[in-house]
Amino acid sequence: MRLKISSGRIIDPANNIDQTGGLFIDEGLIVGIGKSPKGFKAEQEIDATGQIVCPGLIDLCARLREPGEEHKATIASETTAAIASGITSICCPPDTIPVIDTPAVVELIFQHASNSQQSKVFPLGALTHGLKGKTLAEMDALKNAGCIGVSNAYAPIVDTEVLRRALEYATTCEITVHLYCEDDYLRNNGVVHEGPVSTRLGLPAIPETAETIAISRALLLVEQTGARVHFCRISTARSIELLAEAKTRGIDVTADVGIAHLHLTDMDISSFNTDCYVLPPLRSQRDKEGLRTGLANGTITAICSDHQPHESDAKSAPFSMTEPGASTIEMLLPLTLQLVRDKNLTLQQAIAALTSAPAKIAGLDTGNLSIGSRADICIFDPESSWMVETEALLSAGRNTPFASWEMTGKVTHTLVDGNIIYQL
Amino acid sequence: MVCQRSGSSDPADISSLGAHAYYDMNEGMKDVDVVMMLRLQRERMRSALLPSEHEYFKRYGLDEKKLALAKADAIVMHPGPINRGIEIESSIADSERSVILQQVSHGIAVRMAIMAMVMGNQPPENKTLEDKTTGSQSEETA
Repeated sequence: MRLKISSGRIIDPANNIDQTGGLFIDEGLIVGIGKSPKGFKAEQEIDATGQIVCPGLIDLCARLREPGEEHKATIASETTAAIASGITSICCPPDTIPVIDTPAVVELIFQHASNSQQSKVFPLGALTHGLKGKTLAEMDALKNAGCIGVSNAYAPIVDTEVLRRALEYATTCEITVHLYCEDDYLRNNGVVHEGPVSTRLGLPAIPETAETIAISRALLLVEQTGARVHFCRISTARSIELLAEAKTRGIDVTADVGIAHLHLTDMDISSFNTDCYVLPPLRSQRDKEGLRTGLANGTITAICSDHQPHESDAKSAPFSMTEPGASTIEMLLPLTLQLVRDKNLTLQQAIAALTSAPAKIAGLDTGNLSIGSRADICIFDPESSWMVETEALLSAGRNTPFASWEMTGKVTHTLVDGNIIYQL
Repeated sequence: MVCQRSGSSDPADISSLGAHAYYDMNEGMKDVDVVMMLRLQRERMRSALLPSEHEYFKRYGLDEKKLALAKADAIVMHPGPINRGIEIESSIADSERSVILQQVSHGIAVRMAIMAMVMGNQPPENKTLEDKTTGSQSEETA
């Protein structure tokens, strides 16, 4: 089908494009920007006057809960929420039940994603068998099955030699390792950031060093093994310094941050709000500012939702007995745009953090509007305001810390491979 | 040499010893005259080096497809004992291109000779040997 998106402000950070005009799509591919290709006759037209047209968003981490925890959410429910939020590609971590450590689980996820026909889903395979941190997973088989990276999710790799061998093997298999860094001994079943808030609330605390020591260990192993490592969910300002210092030494690593950590601090837990129990924990105001600065200066390049939908029971218990994670996928775009209004990022930078940067990390050929590339596109109204009402969320997870927040920026159309999958 | 990546270069800088390291067996197999397979030496593996035998065979095991990349008359060697289906496909081990059994029998003879020499025995007086070495040298080695 030939489609024209007219009069929108086209922003494509990958190609450094920011112009107002038409975008032309034919047979699922982008065929023209600005001027119409010769003989192009649109069968359908979307008027995007006053709106922003950008590549479809890529979320580096969202839990879809399938297989194994369908009582929390399903691939169908979460990709529906994602597509209405402009997200055309989702990477899902391997901590499903069973773990994504065999090609069979990868195939099952692909099958369910293609049945629901919403966002594209790209699984991360396990780094160690069963995420147990003992023996290596069959990374070559997982890569061949379609995994875009390997990860141990939240599961710790206590044995440093196993981590070394895993990084070496991943290098041999030429696959990116998405590493969540937390020292299991220092975490010691903590649930909140170690600081005045943890003391006041009397909750088991996770010190900053739980993250920084694990990152330091990993950085030294990256230096030794030459592995391609992506650092997931950075939460402290000190971690940003470590990553920046490693980059100046020529260590080629990337990092992302979850959207909640750019907007919330441990103060938001105030009266034991379990929707604010996330991992890594919400940290101090200084850390939040450090993360924003890290994004602005390019130490962190990608923002992800770190979406973790839960059933209500999972959050209705004393704070430290609840399950970690927040439902955030529907706020990813407006909360990222908020960073532009807060003058932390330019609009180009903000959109890059949701499109070209995650595409590069995940090795996807989307996240840009180059001529000839797949027409995965997000169109949004940057001025439209709406309020987060938990009952109105499309995600099966209503556990959002952003309930009753005012959001600015609303997706009006989402296209996948040139097809309009969502329309407001 | 086909090997796994270790560190930012090849294992313990094997290339500094004159070997060329390949990380993809299909690359390393191209146009070779001799393929020498080795057994996984489990007795020396102290840590989590490999995910599984199945994946090892897929990446590093010699099968018909990989052998087809070598020269048409390339021979297949292996010092034994072999692990069928782990480093070598059974049909290749038993094929006409395999010189494994010869290699293993020769290996016994070579070991016997070395042990005899270490224990002070001279090489037997042998015409072919004398042809190749000068008399004075063989006296010196003795």
